[in-house]
Amino acid sequence: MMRLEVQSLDLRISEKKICDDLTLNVKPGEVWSVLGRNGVGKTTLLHTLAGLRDPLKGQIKLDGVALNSLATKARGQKVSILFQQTQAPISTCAYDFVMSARHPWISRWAGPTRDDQDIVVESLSQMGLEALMHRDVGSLSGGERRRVELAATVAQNAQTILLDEPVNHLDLHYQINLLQDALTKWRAEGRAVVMVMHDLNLAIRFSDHLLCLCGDGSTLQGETSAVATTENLSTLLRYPLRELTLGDRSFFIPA
Amino acid sequence: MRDPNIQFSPIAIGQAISAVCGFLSGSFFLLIVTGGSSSDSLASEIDHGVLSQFEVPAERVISLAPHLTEIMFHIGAGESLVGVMASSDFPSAALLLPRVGSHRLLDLEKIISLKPDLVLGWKEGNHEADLSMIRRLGFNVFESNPGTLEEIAALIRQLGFLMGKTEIAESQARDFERKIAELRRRYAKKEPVRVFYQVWDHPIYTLNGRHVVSQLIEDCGGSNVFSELPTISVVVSVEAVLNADPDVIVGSLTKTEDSSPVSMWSQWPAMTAVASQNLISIDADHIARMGPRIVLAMTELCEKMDLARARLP
Amino acid sequence: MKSSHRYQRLTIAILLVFSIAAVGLSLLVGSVSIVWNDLISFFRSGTVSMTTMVVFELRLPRAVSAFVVGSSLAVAGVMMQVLLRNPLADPYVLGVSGGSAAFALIVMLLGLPFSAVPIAATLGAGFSIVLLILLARASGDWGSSRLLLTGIVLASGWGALIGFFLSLGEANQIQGMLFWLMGDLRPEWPGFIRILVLLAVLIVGLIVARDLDLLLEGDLRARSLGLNTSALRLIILLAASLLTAASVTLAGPVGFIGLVVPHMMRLIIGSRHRLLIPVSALAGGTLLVIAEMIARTVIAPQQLPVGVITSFIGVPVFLYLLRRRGLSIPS
Repeated sequence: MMRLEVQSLDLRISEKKICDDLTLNVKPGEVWSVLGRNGVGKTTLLHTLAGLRDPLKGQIKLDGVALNSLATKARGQKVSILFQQTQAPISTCAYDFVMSARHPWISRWAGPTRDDQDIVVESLSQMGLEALMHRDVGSLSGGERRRVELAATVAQNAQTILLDEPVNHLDLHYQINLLQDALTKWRAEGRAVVMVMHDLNLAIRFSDHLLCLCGDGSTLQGETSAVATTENLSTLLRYPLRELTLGDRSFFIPA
Repeated sequence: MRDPNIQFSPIAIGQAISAVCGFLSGSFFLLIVTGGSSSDSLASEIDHGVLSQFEVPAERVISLAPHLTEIMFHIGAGESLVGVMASSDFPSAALLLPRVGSHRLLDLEKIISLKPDLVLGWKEGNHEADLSMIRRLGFNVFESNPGTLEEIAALIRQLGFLMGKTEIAESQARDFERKIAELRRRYAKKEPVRVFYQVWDHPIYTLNGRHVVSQLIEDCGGSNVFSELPTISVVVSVEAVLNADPDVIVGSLTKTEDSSPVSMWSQWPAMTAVASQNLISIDADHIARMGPRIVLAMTELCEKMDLARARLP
Repeated sequence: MKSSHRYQRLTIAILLVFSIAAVGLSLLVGSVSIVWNDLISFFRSGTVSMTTMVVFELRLPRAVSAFVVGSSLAVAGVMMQVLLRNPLADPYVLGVSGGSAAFALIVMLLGLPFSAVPIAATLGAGFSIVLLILLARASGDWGSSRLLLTGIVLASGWGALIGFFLSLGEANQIQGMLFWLMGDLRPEWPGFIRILVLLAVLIVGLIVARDLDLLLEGDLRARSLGLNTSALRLIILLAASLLTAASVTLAGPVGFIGLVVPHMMRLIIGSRHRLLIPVSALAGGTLLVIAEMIARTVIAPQQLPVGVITSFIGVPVFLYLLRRRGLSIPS
């Protein structure tokens, strides 16, 4: 069980304020989406939460322990991040790529254990990739590559999971089902998930909490049902939206 | 004293016409200067000098090679020198003369400022671009490239003609030839000795049969073990020398060095040359310059080779 | 998986055999013919002869040096290519060999005894490494393009100095300088320190091999998985620089081994550094021993600088690699 706490975070890129005095509390089992217009700093925020960037001010804590006080390997065991862009070199095979996500758990001297191998195979199966295990990542389609990266995230087995546009390039089937299955599982396991989703409606559908970056440093956060109103979202995205209700689901479309 | 024949070559006439029509200043006549008692054979062997509207004797001369400087003094024309190359250090009077550059770079402005009426060039040691630049600037250039002992004698005579010192030059040339003939008579027919001539040790450089050093070795009753190699100067491996197993190893020693490059062979006692203590050094200034002192080199070489010959098993 | 354990062991075994065969062949080949009886009597009663002197004092030290230099350069090449994430990186790109060469040429220019050249070369290499680190330190991350640019500028600077020294040299000095600049192996032992450096870097390389694989997958990802990329990069930089310095101070800047051998080996056994590093070491050593042998015998009695042979071999091999597969490092 891992609680991700953000206290008084000040984040800036050059002169642009991403967030000003942000306080965030992600509890185990919660799924958060970060919303905002392009370029407002969602990816930067995610990287900061992963410990890859230092904020101007403020603290990030995992279960009460400051993130920047952790050793890098320990941090890798607790926080995992799926990046927006594909990072794999073309000549690595899928198996090796997922195995490298076990790096925080593998002892330098002992090397990968039987357990590590099993975890890798299972993660790949979860993503429907057993047949492609030994193929070079460079020879896979965009969607298959993304699923390999998701498998790697699964294999890393961190309690806090950060996803930057996880379902880019994926077919609709995967976009819905894969994400659904993964998130359900993670919720049940008590992990904390923070995502950046390109698709507003998917974000609303899959998250129980929303964090909106308004662009001037101010933020809006809370349960999805509370935050996802036409007014809030139209202001956030600076475009008038309309809400459509179908059954028990709401969709927001451009007005 | 015989007047040397002066001939116009067809090439020269063509060049003269194009020069007149072209944008270069001055008109050129290509002269082939022959001289001395064996005029015909010499004429065919010697590189032609280029002279232009030139009156013998020259009064202000620049020498672009140390051996040319030495010959000038040798024929009594030293006072006509107004500029020399940095490496001209013999005779000592040459040290007082203004420097016009080193073999790497000629100071063309210095040359111009000295207002020479004759520039002595050395084809092998000067850059062709420099020599043609000097010509284009309107100066007279006499270019030579002595490659054999005979050509050195011819060069002495040629310079004698150019400097109006034909008598002295003739007698010096004859003296040169006489000494060489005498050394040949004494040594050339002796028991042949196999010689390795070493120019440098890092890497190991030697010279082939076309170089004058091979001629010296032959005249002293020896043969150059690497005379058959394709280019004049060649890098050879240690093993190649070990394999050739020469009777004598000869190197040159400059004034500033205290150990000759040939001393590297003393760690191979199995070699014939080393076992017989036949590691010889010749004064570098004598053997490396195509001037009158090469006779000294030849004398030293023949005498030392003869001693070496005696030491062979 | 590209290489199973058996395949790995087989590759290493084959390369070991090749290495030993190459060294052995190099001992037997040369201008002087081996007299077998002399060798036999040496082993029996220790009698020294021309044959034994040629084999044990000329060919053996040179073959061992060639192997050590070839190994060092190949491993340095692997590390440079990881460090700079660039398939064109070779051990000399950051200027270490330039500094070494410049100092060596000063010694030759001043007419100092030739024994001073390796000392000067070492000083030059060390100076260049320190200068590089001081200048590139501000960039923080050692693998950034700033490091590469700094190194290239340094290398150019050294190149200018080298040109300057060449223009000042006398005719016979220049011949020596050019020979050294093309890479020349003399018949001397590599020395205890160089062997130690090679072994140390091999061990360190094997220890961080998995980290190196991860580093290639992207900086951000590596960091997110717990790798201290900054520290690792500095280690690689130092290791590669030391290896390069050790090689250049012994044999001058021998080209192409550091560039081509890693790519050749990747083609055969893949990019995993745990195998790539030792395999490249063996292959690089073998290749240089063979090249040295060719340099010494192809136009005997003339001797070519070994760098000429490595270039002649390296260029067509590199072109072949380019055509066949593209170079397998992400740039």
